[in-house]
Amino acid sequence: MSGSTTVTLSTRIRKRVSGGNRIMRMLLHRWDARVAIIILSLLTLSGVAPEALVGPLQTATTATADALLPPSGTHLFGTDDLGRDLLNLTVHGARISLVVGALSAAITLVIGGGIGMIAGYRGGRVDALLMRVADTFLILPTFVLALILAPILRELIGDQTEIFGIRTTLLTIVAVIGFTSWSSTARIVRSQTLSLRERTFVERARLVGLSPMRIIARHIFPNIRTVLLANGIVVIAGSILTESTLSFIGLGDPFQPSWGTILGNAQSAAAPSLGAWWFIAAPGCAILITVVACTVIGNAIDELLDRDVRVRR
Amino acid sequence: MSEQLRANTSASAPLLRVRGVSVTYAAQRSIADLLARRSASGIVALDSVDLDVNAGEIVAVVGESGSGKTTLARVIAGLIAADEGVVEVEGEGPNDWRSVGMVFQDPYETLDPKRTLGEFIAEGLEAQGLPMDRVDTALEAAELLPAAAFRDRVPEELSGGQRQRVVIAGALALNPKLVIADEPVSMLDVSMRAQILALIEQLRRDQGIAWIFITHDLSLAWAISDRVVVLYLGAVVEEGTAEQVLRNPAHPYTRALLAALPSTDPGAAGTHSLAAGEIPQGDTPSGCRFRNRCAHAIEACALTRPPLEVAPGGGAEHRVACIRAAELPPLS
Ligand SMILES: Nc1ncnc2c1ncn2[C@@H]1O[C@H](COP(=O)(O)OP(=O)(O)OP(=O)(O)O)[C@@H](O)[C@H]1O
Ligand code: SF4
Ligand SMILES: [Mg+2]
Repeated sequence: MSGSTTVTLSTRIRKRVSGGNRIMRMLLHRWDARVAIIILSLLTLSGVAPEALVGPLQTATTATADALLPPSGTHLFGTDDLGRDLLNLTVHGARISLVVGALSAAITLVIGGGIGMIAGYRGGRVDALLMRVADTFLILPTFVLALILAPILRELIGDQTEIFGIRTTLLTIVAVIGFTSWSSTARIVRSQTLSLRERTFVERARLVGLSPMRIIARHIFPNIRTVLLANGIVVIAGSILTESTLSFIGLGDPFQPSWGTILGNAQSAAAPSLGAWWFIAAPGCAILITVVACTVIGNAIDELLDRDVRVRR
Repeated sequence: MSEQLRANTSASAPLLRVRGVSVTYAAQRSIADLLARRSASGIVALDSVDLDVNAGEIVAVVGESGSGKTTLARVIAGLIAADEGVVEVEGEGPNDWRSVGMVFQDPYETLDPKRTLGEFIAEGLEAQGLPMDRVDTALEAAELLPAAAFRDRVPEELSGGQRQRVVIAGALALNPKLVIADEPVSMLDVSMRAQILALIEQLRRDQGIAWIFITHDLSLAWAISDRVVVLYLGAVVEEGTAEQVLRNPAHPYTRALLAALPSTDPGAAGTHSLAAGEIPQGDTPSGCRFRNRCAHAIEACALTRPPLEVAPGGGAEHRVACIRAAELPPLS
């Protein structure tokens, strides 16, 4: 008996992997998704090993160049008002953006996915209550929440706590983005769950006595996994944007400059009026490209899903 | 004495006993309802249905689309609760039994595309604390051989007929006394149909499983069932042995259904054609619910609901709900 269980398990893993491969293969058929995947791979590389690409992060004291140099052979992206190389800053900023994006997306998916599945599957009063809560979170203004939460969280977990090399200030941003964006994920997941609940295989699982939690784990979750993936990637894009905005207005961590922080610096150094367009261009393009790449992939997965459903019907 | 006693108890206590079951689906409140300050009217899907199924018996439930066949199946399976009436299997209420299985119309929908066939069958075993070795036994009983070759496959790799066998295996694994099959072959091509029918028949013979075979196709009912129950707009209008109901139909509706079969004599089809109107959409007519489509309707038909009564000239178990049953012209 245990033998047959192992066989079943290993098949399941094989099938699951091949499911992931299938999405990858289908994505690689589209030129826009192909470009987006290349861009995101480069960004991931920057996020994982920035030192290997551009050396250690330059600070005001380690900066060697003159201030506000336009792009040239030695400084491809130019330098900022403290003489730091903007290529160096932008590549190092990728880590912050990606980690903040990934962590926020993880929080969003866990909370939004969990609540969406429970609300959709249980229906009735549980559903009504959870969706009311989701609506409340949906209208919470991200900035106000960040302003309120930042000092509270700093107080609670201390300034020096680090997760994945990310310090408290940025964790605040992660928490705020996570808490304000899960509700739209919950809505998407709920509507998917509502339609899955009516499917015969779920009815049959109920008939043989499977508990609601098991039905969710066995039948609902596996069938919305790809929807979650598509949504997660789009959430990453949104998180990166929100993080940039928060850092831009000074809620970021000055010691861990993200793209938004660089933009903020450019603003306070009056880069636009000095004609230092490169100061804005480097972080701005990085944000733009990343967000567009994430959105392209998210939408591509969504469209593939739609086509899947159409073909099967 | 014991023989006698057993015969008596089995005659008085059927495996499944359905009494006076009614189900009304809540309808959306329409704007007209809102303006008139009415509550939504609701759709009466079943209206006081009685049904008995004995151990090892195959009962066909026939009727047009919308007559309430699936609703009856879902009530008996315990998937929805009846608004009124009782459903008992071996004398127990819906929360206590585990001996009713179900085979659904669409085998493509019944199997989760993301799970293997072994997982599908094991799911019920796990939920009911039965040993896992029943997975293979069930696959074998449903003639999916060798079992090991099917256990780890996903639904995508199977034909419709094979999928329906897997669904049947999933029901068999749980040791059912009664399996409800809701149009189990309507999505399959003709060559598969005969095989599934043969499997159902064989499982009844070998394991003594009783079946409720739901279909809108009278020729299937004739091919497989011992008894036939005819539903019209949520109520039983005729019941009896397959021979009685299909060879000697007493209700104008059953006659019309039979006449609409392609194999019948075209001359006879004209007189009993179903062309006279559709199933009414709104409220069920007063009196006889079939009267707006009935070629034999008279004024008296509008006054009272005809009760199910022993059909004229038939055996005691042949019953029909028509006040003019005795006057109808005999079938050629
Ligand atoms: N979930 C539901 N909500 C509201 N009305 C329903 C629901 N399910 C069925 N009905 C209605 O109840 C009536 C009986 O439906 P049911 O599905 O039991 O009929 P059926 O005999 O199985 O038909 P078919 O041959 O099309 O499967 C129909 O009028 C149908 O529209
Ligand atoms: S009771 Fe009247 S309307 Fe109803 S089936 Fe009989 S003859 Fe037709
Ligand atoms: Mg039906």
